[in-house]
Amino acid sequence: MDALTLELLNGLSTFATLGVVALGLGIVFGLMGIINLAHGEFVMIGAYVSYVVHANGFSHWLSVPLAAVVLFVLGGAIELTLIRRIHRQPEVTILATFGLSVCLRQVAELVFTKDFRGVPNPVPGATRAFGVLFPTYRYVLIGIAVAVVVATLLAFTKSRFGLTVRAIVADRDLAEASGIRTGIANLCAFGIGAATAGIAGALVAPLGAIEPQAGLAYLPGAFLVVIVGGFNKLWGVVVGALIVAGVQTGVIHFYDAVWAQIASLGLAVAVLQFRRVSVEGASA
Amino acid sequence: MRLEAHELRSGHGGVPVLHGVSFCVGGGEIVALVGRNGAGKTTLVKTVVGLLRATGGQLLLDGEQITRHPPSRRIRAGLRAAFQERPLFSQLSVADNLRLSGHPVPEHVLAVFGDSLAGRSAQRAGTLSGGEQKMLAAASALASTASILLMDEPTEGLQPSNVEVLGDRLDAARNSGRGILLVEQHLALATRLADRFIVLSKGEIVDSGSAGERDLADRLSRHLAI
Amino acid sequence: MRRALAAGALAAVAVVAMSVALGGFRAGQLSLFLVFAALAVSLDFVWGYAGILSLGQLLPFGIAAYASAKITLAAPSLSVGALIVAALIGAAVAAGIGVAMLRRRPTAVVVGLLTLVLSLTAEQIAEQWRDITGGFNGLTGVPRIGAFGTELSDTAGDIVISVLALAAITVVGVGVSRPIGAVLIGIRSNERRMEALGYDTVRCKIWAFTVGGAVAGFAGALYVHRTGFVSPQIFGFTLATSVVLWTLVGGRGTIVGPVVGALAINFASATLADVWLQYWTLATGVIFVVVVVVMPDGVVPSLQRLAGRSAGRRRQPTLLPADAEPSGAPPHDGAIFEAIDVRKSFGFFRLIDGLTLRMDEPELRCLVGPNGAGKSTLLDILCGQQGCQAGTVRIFGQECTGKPSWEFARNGVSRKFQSPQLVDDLSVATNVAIAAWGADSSPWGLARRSWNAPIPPAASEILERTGLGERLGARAGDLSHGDKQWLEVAMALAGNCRLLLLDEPTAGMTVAESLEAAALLRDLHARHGLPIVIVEHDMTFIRAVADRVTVLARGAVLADGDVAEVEANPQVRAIYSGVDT
Repeated sequence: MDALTLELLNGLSTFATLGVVALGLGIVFGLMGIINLAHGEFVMIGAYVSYVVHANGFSHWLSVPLAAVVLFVLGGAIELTLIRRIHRQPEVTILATFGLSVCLRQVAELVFTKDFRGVPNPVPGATRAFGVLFPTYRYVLIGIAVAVVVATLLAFTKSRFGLTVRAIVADRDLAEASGIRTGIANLCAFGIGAATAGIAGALVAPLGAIEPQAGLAYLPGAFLVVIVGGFNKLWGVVVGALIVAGVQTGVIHFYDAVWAQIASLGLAVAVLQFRRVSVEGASA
Repeated sequence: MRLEAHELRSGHGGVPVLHGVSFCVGGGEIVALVGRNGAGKTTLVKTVVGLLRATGGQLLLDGEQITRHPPSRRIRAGLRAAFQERPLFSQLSVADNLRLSGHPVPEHVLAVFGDSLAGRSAQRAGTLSGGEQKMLAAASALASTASILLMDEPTEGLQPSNVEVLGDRLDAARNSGRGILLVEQHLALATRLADRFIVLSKGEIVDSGSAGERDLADRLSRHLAI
Repeated sequence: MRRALAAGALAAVAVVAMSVALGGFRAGQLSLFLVFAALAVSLDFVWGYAGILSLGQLLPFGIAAYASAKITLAAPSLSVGALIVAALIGAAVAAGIGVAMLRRRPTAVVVGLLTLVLSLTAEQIAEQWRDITGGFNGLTGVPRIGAFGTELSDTAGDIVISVLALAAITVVGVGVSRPIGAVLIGIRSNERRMEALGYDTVRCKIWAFTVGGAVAGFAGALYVHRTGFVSPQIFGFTLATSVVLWTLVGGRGTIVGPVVGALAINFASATLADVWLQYWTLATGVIFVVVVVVMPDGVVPSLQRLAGRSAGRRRQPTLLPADAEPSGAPPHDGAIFEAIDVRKSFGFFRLIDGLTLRMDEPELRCLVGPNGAGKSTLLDILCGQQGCQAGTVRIFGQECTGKPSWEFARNGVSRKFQSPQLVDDLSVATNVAIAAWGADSSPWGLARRSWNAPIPPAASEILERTGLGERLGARAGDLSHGDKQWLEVAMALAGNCRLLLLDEPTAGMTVAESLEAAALLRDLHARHGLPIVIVEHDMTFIRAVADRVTVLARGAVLADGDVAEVEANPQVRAIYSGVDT
């Protein structure tokens, strides 16, 4: 019974991490039709922000909003200088963000070297609940991650800004002809996507080593979530994260991590086979 | 306010459609743009709004160059279009469509839809009939503050009683000083409303005239007859 | 082909000479970088030619490398044989992925994503599956290349590896210098068009992916023998990025480009990396982004263009008069085409609503009707570009409902699209030749066949009368809009054309030009007895061209008859003057 509870909590923690990492990927893809292969690097930079915050003696909690701001600005700058030029060519965007990810990793290496950095756990210890001991920080992470995902999704579905962005997705031409400034909306969408990645990075920073290659580990999982959850539904990120986390936790419990990887990959391939995916995203 | 086009050229995917079209629409007049399918009417509307890039010629709004302006800037300068195809965001709800148009929807539109629209505001706009979509798009264009309206076949798919209602609203808009470019393939409404006519064929203006000219009806039906 | 072989042989001589002259370390570097070049060429074949954006070309490369290492470690005497096995394993891996992935016609984005995720997952699996893969450290101590138990000396081994890598590159080079190269370029740049010409594009792409996998697998085995070890990083992001970078920077769609890209970037890395490792890696990232945005064709093609060499440099086909005349209706039972009670809707909107239409004798038939009447949809259904939800379509008595468009094309249906759909990068002659080869094409057949293309008289006439016959070497993308339209028509006639469908052939033409077009089409119809269906709005053109006019409205036939009858029909007049609505 306790073992099961622990697995459930582990699954929940995986779900929250996957969800908040995949969120920005889903936003940028669902709203702009852009596959951002540098998304993992945004997460990595978010983690470095929290390292810098810690190294300067500030509280870890400051790093979460700060990472969001830093990444929003960085994402906006990348949209303005790069993405904007190649926006409607999906293949070119893939390649450009592929190259961008190399640049970002290398800049991180130049600034912070290859050494592994770490951030101490701001909430050490474990909490006993539901009859099991579970690290307190993971509870906090689950709470914040879920809050961030829900708040972001609500913002996109309920606010005026969300409405204009959804209008652009639905019919770009009509949106422009309705007076919507699609350029600014795209800038904000990309910036927000990057900002959520920054939050994700700051949240996971205390859990593992921070190094320039750290972002790569998140990429396959995040893409699996987006593929499984569906490309052009924002709430699909939640569904996708639930399914992928469920499969991974379940398979790891009964077999091992290798099979968990194979299983979630097989799931993604199966989803692609059964659902005709309109991956031109915005234009479809 | 006055919209002028000089030798406007445009097309899509490298295919030239408009081969140098000049016309103007002033405040307080309705100019009917007629022509058969494929004559380039919709291309002209899209080029004026800025969805298609003009490959030549000039567009002026009150004497100011807008040829290179993005659509949103033209809209803010006082243009507004209601499109023939996909007039609404079909994946968004009716309520969202109304919010996007940014203006309160006038009473008469709700009246036309009867009580039914109120209950359907959460419904996707794509589930409205083609005529209802056109009516809603026309209504939100009319409800805007734009001084030049481009209406691309607004009556297509409308039931006759609604054509009447729409005609009255267009008439009222003209009388309040707005300029309207009315694209119509069908002559009934156009002859009733328009002050002037432009006939487009294969991307060129082949005829034009004022409502008063005696042989106008003959000329128009000759241009449009199958 | 001779040129590709000669270039390969020359390169081999040069490499051997350089390896002997430089010796030791440099020869070793050269062999490793040539292996990378072979990997880049395999990606180029898949991506630059067939248009499949594979970010996972390391899968066949890496899996074959592991397999080759396993085989050689278990049985050292097999090391040369292991190369062949590796190529087969690479082909099998790629074929498996290709079949699973490409049959659903995914977009470039899905392909890129899936292959990348597959490759990154392979890395994690290789790390964790320690029993087989040796885990994080991989498999080490793989003997250098040799045969029958003799291991070659270092430099000799390097030279053998260099020559084998060059041989693999040359094989690909010879391959793309055959007609299949042009066909793959066609599929890359306009798959829909190629399918309408009779190519089973999905099969061609799976074939290309498999061949690319074989080359990558071969390169993977060479890699293992050259470096002596293989570890999970072989699937990793760094190498995956690098191979795309070499190919992209060098120039996709050429063989020289990726080779130059791989050699230049690797030698630069090796030289600069000692001093400025971090800055150099950053620079490669920046180069990557800049090339993608500013010079998407890559450096080699851009230099070629600067030097004034264009697409004309590619091997040109010889257009020969065809012996037989495919034009005109073949013997058949029943109608030339018939569509019975066809229905097709999109969401709530009924595009085609119980439409029945047939043509019994070869005639020039125009389809007219207001916007949204279903004209273009009907044309799509008649050539298999779109399926229908109900009803039956027969072409020359053959049931074709629901078949892909290449089968319609092989049954004799040719389609000219509304806006010209050409393979812009290829010459006029190659476009026509591709159309002529489409009727009976298999990838292997196209790799073996000659560059001669038999062209039926109808197509030659169009080329002659429109002046395209004198500009056969011109790049199709550089033609004027009018010339493009006529090249489209010539392509439609060049294949196995027994029924010609034209969608708005006069779009973009002036009135005078469209009347000339009408005369040309009438002539074509009269001389070759070719049945033609034209969707058109322009009544002047229709009066000049049509035997018979069918009016569509709301997805069904409203009226049918000669031009005068239709024009006199009160219902038709009503539709067109709007009284009806």
